[in-house]
Amino acid sequence: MTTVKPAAPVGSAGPSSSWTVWLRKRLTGLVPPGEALPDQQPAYVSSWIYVFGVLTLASLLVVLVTGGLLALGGVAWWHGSSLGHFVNSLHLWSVELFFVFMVVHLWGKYWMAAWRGKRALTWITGVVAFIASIGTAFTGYLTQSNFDSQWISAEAKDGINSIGVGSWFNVLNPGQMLLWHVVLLPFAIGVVTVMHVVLVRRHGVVPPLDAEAGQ
Amino acid sequence: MATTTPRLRRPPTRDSHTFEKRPYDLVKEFVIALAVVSLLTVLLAAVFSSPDENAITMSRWATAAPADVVATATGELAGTTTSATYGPPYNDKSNGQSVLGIPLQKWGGVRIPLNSADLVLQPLRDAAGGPVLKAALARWSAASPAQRTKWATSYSDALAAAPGQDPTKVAPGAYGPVPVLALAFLQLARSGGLEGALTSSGNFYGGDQTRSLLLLSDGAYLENLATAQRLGGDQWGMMNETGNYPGQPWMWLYTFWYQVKPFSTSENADAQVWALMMVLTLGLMFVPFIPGLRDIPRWIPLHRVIWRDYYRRQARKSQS
Amino acid sequence: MALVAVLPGPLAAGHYLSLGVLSISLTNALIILAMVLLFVVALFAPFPRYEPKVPRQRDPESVPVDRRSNGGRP
Repeated sequence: MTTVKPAAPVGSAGPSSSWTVWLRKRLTGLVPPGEALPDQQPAYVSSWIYVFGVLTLASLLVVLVTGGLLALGGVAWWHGSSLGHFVNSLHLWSVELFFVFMVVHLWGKYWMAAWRGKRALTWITGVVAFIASIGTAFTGYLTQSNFDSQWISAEAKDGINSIGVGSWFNVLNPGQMLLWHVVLLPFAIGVVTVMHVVLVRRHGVVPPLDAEAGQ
Repeated sequence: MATTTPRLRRPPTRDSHTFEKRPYDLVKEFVIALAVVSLLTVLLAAVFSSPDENAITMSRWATAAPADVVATATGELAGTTTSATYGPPYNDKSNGQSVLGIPLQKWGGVRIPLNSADLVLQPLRDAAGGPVLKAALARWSAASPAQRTKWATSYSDALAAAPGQDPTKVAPGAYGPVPVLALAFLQLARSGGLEGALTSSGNFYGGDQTRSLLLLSDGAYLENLATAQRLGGDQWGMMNETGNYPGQPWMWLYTFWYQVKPFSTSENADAQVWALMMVLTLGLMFVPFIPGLRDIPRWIPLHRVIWRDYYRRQARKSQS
Repeated sequence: MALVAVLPGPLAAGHYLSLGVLSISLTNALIILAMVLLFVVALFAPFPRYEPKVPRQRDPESVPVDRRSNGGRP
């Protein structure tokens, strides 16, 4: 009569060569337990300046949704439809709000020296998100298929050609610019934003300057 | 009051998780933020709308500024327009811009090859032109490059000298087939078929407006309209929008450099400003590592306002 | 600072403020002003406080602090 050995319990170390185990450990180790969506914050999180991060995030969501609505109608929709024009206005103003909140958030984080305590990467991903957003807005202007697009592309081509990259990023090519605006750059912003938010949850909100030990 | 401790003697920043906590509902905060932003967006969109100035069509250009179209077409044939002498990526007629001696534009290579004269000749050849046009095209093709340049340059000069740059008031001269070609080009533009001829050129779908935009940029009409709206490079144009609509305030530093020397008079302004902004952007990115820049928040303690509750509580605790 | 107003037309510039080499559209200036105001207000506006129960003395009859999950914020 053969006996069957009980299987090793789930979640055990498993063979050290398991890619799944490696990934699981990496993912679960990104953020301290309970810190992904905590219901508490350090007591010093007690200022309205702290809401600008979440306002930026909320604005980004509205930008994506209104952009998606525009995409439903296509590139030329908003020129002939008053509903389309309204959706375009929603997209424009959500972008303006996005930049307003993001820059005020940046100001706040600078004056808090929020890169302290191993948070340099949080700061860096924030700046990258800012720059990527500028690039995304730029391709958005090129995608309007109106006078703005003509002038902005005519001017911008000189800047981009001057550094030798104009043939790979051709601002005079609306088809290419549209795909950068709708696919590539939003994806990049999404990735950088996730990194940024995960880092904030990982390290927690930066303590006050000269906060002393034991308090 | 906290003193500014020298960095080396400063203890490392304490782990934020070791501080006393307060309840804080992140999800509720996010939902409220989303509601606020959505409401603001709808209000702003309803009240202020968004700009939509119609694109310039070749037909409109030809109707509003026919002399400009004729002069531009002639310039393309003479090889004197901006695109004709641009350099990479369109041609090698110039080395392009460089920064600190590094010829970045040249390194990009000629990867969107463009013969500026073809911006005029190709649509004309494809058009169903009459015998006069066909003869003019044949005469142009048969001539030597030197002869073509001579014809086109003479006509270009004559146009500039004509009263009001009016093609119908040009002084007689040896211009070869150029006047016929330029005028036929104007008629093609007026007809509305020029964009299609330039963009599609045999391909049904088109989708790449490079050639049409380069032609339009070679003329003065586009730039004149833009300048009237304060969108020019030396008008802080990068920040601006048509009418009273919000522009791009975040571009203020990028466009600032174009307004001042040495960039405002430099032939390499684009490359130089880009390089400078790259350096400044990296500076912003690496603030945490830049002495001085990273210490300003300590020297100008706005944080005393942000964390006043915390500092007040600590002061009370240390007193009690 | 000169307020340069251009008569409205189909393709006319909006309102601009100019001072020497500086020039900014009225709309952009208002946006930036609003941002600065927002920043200053955010720094100084009182934020709903959370006062934890400070255990100075053991008081068996003391009532626990209200533990509403939003910490007292509206």
